[in-house]
Amino acid sequence: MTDVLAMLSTPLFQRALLAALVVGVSAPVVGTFLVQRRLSLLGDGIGHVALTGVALGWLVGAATGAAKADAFAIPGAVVAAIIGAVIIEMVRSRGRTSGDLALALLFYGGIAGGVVLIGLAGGTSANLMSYLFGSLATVGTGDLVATLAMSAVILAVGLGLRTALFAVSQDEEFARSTGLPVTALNVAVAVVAALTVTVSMRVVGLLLVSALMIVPVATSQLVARSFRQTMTIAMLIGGVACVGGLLVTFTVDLAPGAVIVVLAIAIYAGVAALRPLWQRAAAPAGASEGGQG
Amino acid sequence: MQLAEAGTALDPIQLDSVSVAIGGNTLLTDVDLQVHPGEAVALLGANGSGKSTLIRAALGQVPVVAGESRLFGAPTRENSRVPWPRIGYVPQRLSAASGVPATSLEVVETGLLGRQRWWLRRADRERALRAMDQLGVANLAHRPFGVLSGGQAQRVVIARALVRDPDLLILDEPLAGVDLLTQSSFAALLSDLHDQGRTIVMVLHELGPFAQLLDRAVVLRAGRIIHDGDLPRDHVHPHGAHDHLHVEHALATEPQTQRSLP
Repeated sequence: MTDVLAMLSTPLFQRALLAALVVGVSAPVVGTFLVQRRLSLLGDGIGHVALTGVALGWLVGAATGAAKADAFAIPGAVVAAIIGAVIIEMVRSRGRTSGDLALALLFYGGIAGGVVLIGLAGGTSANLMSYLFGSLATVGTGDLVATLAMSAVILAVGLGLRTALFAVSQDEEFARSTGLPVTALNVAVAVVAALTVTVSMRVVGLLLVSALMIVPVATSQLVARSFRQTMTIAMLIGGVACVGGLLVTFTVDLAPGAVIVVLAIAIYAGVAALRPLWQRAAAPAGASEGGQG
Repeated sequence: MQLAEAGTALDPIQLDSVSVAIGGNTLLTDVDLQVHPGEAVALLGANGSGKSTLIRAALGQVPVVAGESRLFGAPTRENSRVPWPRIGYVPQRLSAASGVPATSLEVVETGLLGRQRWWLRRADRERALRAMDQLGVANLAHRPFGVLSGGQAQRVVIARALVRDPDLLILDEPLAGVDLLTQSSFAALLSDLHDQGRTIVMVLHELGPFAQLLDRAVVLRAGRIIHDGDLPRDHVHPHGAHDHLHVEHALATEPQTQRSLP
């Protein structure tokens, strides 16, 4: 018991805890817009591209002789993720290629590009593992500051522009007719999604980033009735899953990222199983739900 | 340009020789259309004749490859000059059945946003509820939009356009999936709005309950206007309680696209 308490008081743990909490709360904000636009897999696409960015950062680090080989890994990921997200958005809005195919190309290109580039940088695919699966246990002060800053941007855009982003995600054609700057708002969603991917990379890893954005929303929409409620509950679930998952890994030796995602999915399963009861309790008050219109 | 005819209000919609092409397909060819203030105009034609494309061209939502479209005198190319708050649009597809639940009120509130209005204000909720009340759906305000019936959803989407208090109301097939009773209540509502001096442009398959309200019909075929003037009054089929004016039979029949009407 005292071991656990001692651990809880270490700066390492406190940094990890704060990073997990902030990321867990902010990822579902963006996820809510993505689910609404039926772009649930966008995060995965961006994540794969971000891997190329990480490798590119290594390459730059190697070329410039930086003190740490991975000094440019995170900036590389941010840049690549933003470029990838904006490209996906452009493809989607033009409607030429199906978004589906564009995502597929990014998936493959991102992973393959990452492995090739890390090789060129003199590293091995093993160097990519911490980005693929997260490295919450090694969050330094600099990492924490970057995480907090990016999360602040994500929350400011996602919550501050919620109504406008909701309008654009919900009915783009109507939104355009109101005069809203639809293209700019779409790009804002894409950029914020890219930031979310890179900020979550540290916590759960690129391969599981999307889960952190989407699973809490999937859970939340089982019980929520409004958009606002969906987002709020999803943020709560995301925070609980991240902090809970991290706490588990400090008592059992498991990878935090995977435990967090498993926990999020377990919450989903639990809510889905209990939902019929909840609905039965709520039903007598209002009229019947009716079929999907 | 007829922009500054002294003393006359600007036409809500003006298309000058507009052609629209998407991905190499020409959807509209050399379309001229003026909708004057206070008019109620029906856009008719078979499926694929270009009715919805014409609306989108008027709203600047599709690439106009030739000619110019103006809203209240402002070219739609210059988005910032268009008086968007004066325009209320009811798109065709009810695209709002997304994965994330949203209440009808949240949907209607988005009608209050605009070019420089990205946030809601305190009084907006009241305004949205009033617009919903006008359409008899205030009781559905807190219901998820996705579970509404076709007619209920259509009312909510019309409320979303009306909450802007628009001078020009554009409706793309407002009767799709709406039962007869609701259709006649829509007709009464739109008559009121028309009487208040609002301009109404509607894409329709049949005039149905709107025959009394409309001033003018524009008929399209294969991307061109083939009729602009009186409503098609022939081929009246007195089905049931109200008049069906089967426009497709009257003017724009393209045999392969005939639909069975109720």
